[in-house]
Amino acid sequence: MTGKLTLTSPADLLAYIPHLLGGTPTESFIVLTASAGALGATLRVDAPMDTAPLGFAQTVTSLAAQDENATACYLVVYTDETGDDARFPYAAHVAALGKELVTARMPVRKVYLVTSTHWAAYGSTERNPLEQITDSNANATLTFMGSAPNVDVYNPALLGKWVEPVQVPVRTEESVQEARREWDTALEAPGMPDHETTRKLAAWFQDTYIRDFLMADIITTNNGVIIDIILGKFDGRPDWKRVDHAETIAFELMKAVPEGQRAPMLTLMGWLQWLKGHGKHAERYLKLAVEDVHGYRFAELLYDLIGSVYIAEVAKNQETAYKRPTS
Amino acid sequence: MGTEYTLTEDDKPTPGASFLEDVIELQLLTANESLGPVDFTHPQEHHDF
Repeated sequence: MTGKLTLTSPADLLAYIPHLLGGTPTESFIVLTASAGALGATLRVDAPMDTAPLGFAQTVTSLAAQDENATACYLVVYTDETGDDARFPYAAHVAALGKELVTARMPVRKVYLVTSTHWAAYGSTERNPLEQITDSNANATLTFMGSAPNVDVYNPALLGKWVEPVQVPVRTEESVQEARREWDTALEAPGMPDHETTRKLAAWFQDTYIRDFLMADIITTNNGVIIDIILGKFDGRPDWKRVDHAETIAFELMKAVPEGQRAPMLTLMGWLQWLKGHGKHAERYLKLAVEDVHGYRFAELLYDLIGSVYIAEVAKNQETAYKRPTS
Repeated sequence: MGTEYTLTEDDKPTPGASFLEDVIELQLLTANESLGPVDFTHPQEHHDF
């Protein structure tokens, strides 16, 4: 996206959110931070299930406070769980969050509610049609700038059903080096690797030890420290084009193997999504990985980590965070 | 490519070994309460409201 976008109405603001998150949220709380007339970070968390209001509010506020420049914020509740009083879903959580955000010096300017049938100012009797959001100036402008609210590399319809399994290679020092060389070549080259290379790479990804190296090698600004790599703490802004390319190749590798061998690539895609700040997309890939190989340890562990409200270090800083490419 | 990674142990990897998995497992020992995944993004360009 290039140029300056001016949001002049609530519908504009609500249209902006899917473009930032790569999809329209459901059952979520969104905090949009703001300062001096400009919007800052966008935070999305799952709507609270059994979490007490105060604990929920404190956690969400501490996450929103990652934007150190914020002096105010907007809160949007996406839900169809509107309960007895449809105007005030999650009333206790919204109230607690409002108090915590004031304490953190980023008071809530407005609260909005979005359901699958309408949107409204929170607490009002309005039932505004969702078309106001899709027909808004902001949505038209963002779309014209090349942004798409729904971008997804993963398309299960493209995955073959009758594909030969790959043979898991014998691991030697030489094979580890060969795998890393071939992977780097694929990441550097435009387009997709040929079929033979695709199958070889997919086979190497089956080995957990080699897989780890291949994942780490995507980030050329990694500092070589394993804990930092997995948590997204890098020596500068990653080459996000290389990361996007890795994600596309990972899906290509999935097409070259049958069910039961796709979990390593799905886990990789989940990790990359998380690095980009897209925890919800990451969760989806990790669930698919565990469906593909029951008990796939890496996917289960990453799922638990991401579910523990971790934000990748690289995603916290605007200078290093991912920017979605425009078409 | 070619980065020498720092491992916490210098023993030879066993079959099924994964240094990334081991690190996450340790990290989870001090993890927060599970509230589900978080999305955190920044404005693509300058957006006013």
